[in-house]
Amino acid sequence: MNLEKYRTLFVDEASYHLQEMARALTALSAGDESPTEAVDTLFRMAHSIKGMAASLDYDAASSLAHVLEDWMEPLRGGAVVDSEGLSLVAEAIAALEEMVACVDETGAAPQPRADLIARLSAHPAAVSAPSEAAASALSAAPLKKKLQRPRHRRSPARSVFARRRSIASFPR
Amino acid sequence: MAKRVLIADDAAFMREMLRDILTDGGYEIVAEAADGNEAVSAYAKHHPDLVTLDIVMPRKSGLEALREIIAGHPGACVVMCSALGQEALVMEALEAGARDFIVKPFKPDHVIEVAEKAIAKIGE
Repeated sequence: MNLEKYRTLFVDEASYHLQEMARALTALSAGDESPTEAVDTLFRMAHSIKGMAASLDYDAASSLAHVLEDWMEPLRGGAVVDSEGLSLVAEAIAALEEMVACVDETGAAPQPRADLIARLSAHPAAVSAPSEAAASALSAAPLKKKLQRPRHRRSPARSVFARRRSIASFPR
Repeated sequence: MAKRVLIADDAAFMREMLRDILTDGGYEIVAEAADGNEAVSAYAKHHPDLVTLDIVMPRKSGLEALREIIAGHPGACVVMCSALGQEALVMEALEAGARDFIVKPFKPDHVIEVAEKAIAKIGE
């Protein structure tokens, strides 16, 4: 296997997926998008990152993406998520971004985030309709703050737009 | 003559990996698809000998694409690509006409073995 080629593909594609996940999560929180679509995006992107990371033996990223994917599963069935759950998902996305940055900048496998996995496991997605208090807690503001962490930095040539072009030009 | 393959997966990473494995194994990749709709269209256009179809894809899932392909081409040779934890979906796909399945992450020897067996079943 040409590791360098796949490492580059992983960084490019996972970065794009994580941007989409952050966008979907913000939309879900703000009610800007159909919950079904936003949850489906989050689920599919986590699933995809899990598969790519597992292919390169990045167990930390694969495990976290797997837990996140499983965590989203009840939401696909119509369950709703509370504000604490949204914050956890935002934290998981940020942690995955840091893992991708680690691969990009050092070429090394990322370190596990057992603490975050444990917190996700301890706070399953809500399985029933939220109370009015919880529903009102679904404010976009705190979540946007969490998602406004600095994105992982690459050289200017590897900007978001360059990455988008790169994804669009992948061999089909 | 090399067997012709259609690869359908929404992740370019996975398509590239399958392309490398299958090309090294002597297969010809005639098309790639990034979602279920593209997979159905590409099948109708190329009539490949084998399709690798990811289960989780946008717009039209692998399972939906499989059903459409089989409905239009009952002899289609389709292998599903799945991940751990998708056993129920894999069973559903096998009942819907998929020949076999490959679990990610891909192991080159296993991918080739499954592809060969699936193609060998044609006409049985």
